[in-house]
Amino acid sequence: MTGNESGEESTPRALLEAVDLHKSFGPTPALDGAGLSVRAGEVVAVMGPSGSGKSTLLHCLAGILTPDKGTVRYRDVELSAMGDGARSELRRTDFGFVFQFGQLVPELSCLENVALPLRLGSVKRKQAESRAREWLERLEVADVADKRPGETSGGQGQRVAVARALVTGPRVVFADEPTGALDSLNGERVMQLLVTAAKETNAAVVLVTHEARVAAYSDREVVVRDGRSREMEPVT
Amino acid sequence: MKRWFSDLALGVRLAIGGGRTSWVRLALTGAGIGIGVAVLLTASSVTTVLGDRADREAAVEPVSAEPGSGGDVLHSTFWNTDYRGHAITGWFVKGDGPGAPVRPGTTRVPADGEVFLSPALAELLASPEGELLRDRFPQRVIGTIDQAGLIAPNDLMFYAGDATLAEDSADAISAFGGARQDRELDPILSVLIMVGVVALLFPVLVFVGITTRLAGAERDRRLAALRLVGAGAQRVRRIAAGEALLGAVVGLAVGAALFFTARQFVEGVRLLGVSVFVSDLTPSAPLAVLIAVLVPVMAVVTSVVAMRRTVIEPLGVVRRTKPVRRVLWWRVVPIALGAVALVTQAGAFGDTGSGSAEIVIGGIILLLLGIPVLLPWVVERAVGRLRGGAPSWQLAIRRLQLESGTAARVVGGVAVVLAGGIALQSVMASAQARIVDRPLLDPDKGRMVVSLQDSPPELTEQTAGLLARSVGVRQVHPMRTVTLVAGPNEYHAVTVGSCEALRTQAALPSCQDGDSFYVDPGSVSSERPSERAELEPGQRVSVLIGSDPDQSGPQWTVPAFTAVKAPDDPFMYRFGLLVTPAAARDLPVDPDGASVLVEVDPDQPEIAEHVRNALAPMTWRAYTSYFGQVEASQRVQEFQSIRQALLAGSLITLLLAGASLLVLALEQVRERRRPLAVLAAGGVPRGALGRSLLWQNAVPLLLALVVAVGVGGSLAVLLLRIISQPIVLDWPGIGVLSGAAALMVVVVTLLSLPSLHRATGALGLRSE
Repeated sequence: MTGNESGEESTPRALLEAVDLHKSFGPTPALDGAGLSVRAGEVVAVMGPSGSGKSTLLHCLAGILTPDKGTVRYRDVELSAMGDGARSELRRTDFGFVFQFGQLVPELSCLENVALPLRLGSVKRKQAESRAREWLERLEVADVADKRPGETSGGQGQRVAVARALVTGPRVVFADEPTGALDSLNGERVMQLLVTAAKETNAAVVLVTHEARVAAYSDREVVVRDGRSREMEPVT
Repeated sequence: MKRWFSDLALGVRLAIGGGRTSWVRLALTGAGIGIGVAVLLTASSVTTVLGDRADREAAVEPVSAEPGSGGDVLHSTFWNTDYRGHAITGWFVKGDGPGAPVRPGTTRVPADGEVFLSPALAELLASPEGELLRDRFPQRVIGTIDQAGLIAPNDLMFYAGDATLAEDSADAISAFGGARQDRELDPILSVLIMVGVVALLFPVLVFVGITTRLAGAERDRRLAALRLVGAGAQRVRRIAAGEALLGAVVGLAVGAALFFTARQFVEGVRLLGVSVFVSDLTPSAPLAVLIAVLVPVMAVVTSVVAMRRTVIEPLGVVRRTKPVRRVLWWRVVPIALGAVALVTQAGAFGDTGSGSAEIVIGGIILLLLGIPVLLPWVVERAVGRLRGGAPSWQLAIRRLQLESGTAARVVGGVAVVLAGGIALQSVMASAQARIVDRPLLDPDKGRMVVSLQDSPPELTEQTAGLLARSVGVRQVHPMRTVTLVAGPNEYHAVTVGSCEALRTQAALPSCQDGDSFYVDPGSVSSERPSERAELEPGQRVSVLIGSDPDQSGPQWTVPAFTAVKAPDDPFMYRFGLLVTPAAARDLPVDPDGASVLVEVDPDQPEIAEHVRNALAPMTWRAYTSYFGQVEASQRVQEFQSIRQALLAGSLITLLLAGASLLVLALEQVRERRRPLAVLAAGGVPRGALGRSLLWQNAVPLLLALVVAVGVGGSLAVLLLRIISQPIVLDWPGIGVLSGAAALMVVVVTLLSLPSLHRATGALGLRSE
């Protein structure tokens, strides 16, 4: 099944939908007609080998990269038509991000990091930090609230990142290899917490991974290869 | 606006939140900006220094009493003496009533036998160094002259009461305080200040620029993380500006602290023999406000400009444009414009004094600014042609070929210091050479001249008696001088003395009492045209009494004389008539004209001080001149000390540039930690990596040296032409500065080796 076919399969209830995406970096094509649709509250795993274009697909879906061709629609609004300010606001209010590493601000404490999206949205500090503390507790890392990211373990740091991704109550969480730098035990725990918390808040999760063990947490899987996407048949 | 403050505050929070690295970065930025602020505050105090001095000079300016105006007046006579090369000046005064004016800086008119001393003179007299001087100040000290009565803190000044003051010859003062007269700075000094300020400030700006890029990779990551969670591009810029702003504010505080601390010691510093009071060194209020506003603005602008080619995206930082091959034409424009500006001012600060300081400063700025503008092109082209070599060389050259801009910017700061230093040193060397090359007068250690003021003949005898009893005095020859008026603006000097005395003034063929001689001034010099006209024996002339040439004095007939040549002795010759006492019997006496020639033992230590002390009872009536010390050699020493101070200043600024280089070297090692660790893991020896660091620093610096010597030398030539000085390049100074720069590269490389060692360890291979 091609990306176009994937697009045809989407229903009007799709929250986020990408159709026929093309993206090149210089002479190297990263996406060559990929597509994907995500419904509210579902967990979609995007799988594929290294260099297949799965991270590029995620970045286009999140409005971080603008595709050379094709459309990405979120709640029926095309992302490429939005300005930088509107896309920044979208990332702040509707989207959350968990990457393999590097997404936390090293100068801020874990609590401040989690509160940061709220504070950028003009929520008062006390209120923002109170909500951030709740999420740190939920993700079982309240004890590192006053530490800087560099002072925590990898697993703790990822849970802080998950807390930050969810603190604004996003509709979509983008997770790019969220357990890539963790051991299996920590990876499992992070995934359990991420998926549980997302389900509780009815947030969709777009999960980029090359590990079947991680993909097992998803409702359905899409494989990306050579810049094209293909829906995996559900295992019966 | 609230959002603005909140973003700036977040920037500040990020700037201090990164632990030790953040604090080190903040400290370096604060130090760099602080030094610049301190220099700016000093420069902004120059107007206050000059203004306050002029105010005090005006406040002590005496107002002459109108004849017959009534009221109490102060009679005052100026006197000065030398002590071991230091000039001591002061006044002997006598008030003729309780309403006599009190000089600023003193509390009352000193009575007979009382004296006020300046703090510096009081300190000198109290110290062992002043032991030989104490005989000249036997008065009772009743206080010190405070700042209001002094021009500079190192003034050696006194203010003494003397009841024997001759009222008719002393100045009658009704009050103190005149109009302020602003002085213009010496042109050489002005040019030196202009070069100094630009050469000193520029590296500071470069340092500020470098420190704002310090930990650039971390900042980029931080800002990208902010973008990821929804901060817009504008907000990220504001947050980055907040980070820079904190550095600027810390720099302002550091600079102000540095300035006000250093200011406390300013009274002990003498530049060109001048010192200033602590309170003089106060920045003018408008300039201080300007500095407080401009410095943070500049820091923020520098930071924003540094980001102009980068776009912070949620996934990191991308370059807006691909690196393009640098073009030459616009890079030579500043240097060309600067050179043209300075060429137009050739000779303008020399004899004519019609120069425009603005054009000169503009020219200097453009020329020095041209160096960092030109250097990236020079470095790019030069390293682009380099090939081959050992692996360490190849690693360094390839790295420079890939990205030479940052290295060129840092060595640009070094090059500006070097060029400024070369120009400063050369201007000073030229000025010094002019003094050294000027034919110096041989010091005459065997003779002194004592000029007597308001002295009746018996006082001359008394003086001769005092001198004869002094240590080291061999012979005394009393003389007196009278001025003759032979016609309008035609004056002739008559010196009356024994044959023995007159022989010290001219080469006399033979001499007996009753003989007269005439020394033709044209035989030595043509500097005094009014005395060129020859006198005729038997000619009737009038004698000038006092200083008013219009008042015709008593008549006198010129006796028969023998014309003689002036002696080949630059200290002693006198022009005009030399007359023995018998030939001058009917010559009216001018009380101001008496003098005594003293032959002294040149080998007697401190002979001049002994003779001056012997004359202490004469106080204001006797002035001594001694030619045993040559002024020019003191000036040479002074110039030498200024040059050394400038060299030290240049080296200190070079140190700051070295700090920039070190910061950059450490930063590069940190940012390239992983590739360096991979190279080390793959078997590349750490020594080779260390040498590659050395070449990476040394190659741009060598190129910077070439450009700096070229531009600095040209600047020196242009400046010397502006002040009409002979063109002398200070090659030893250039050598010292270049050597210091080369040494700096080696030291910077050595200091960055521990960091390289850490980076190439096993942990360097970790990507997180």
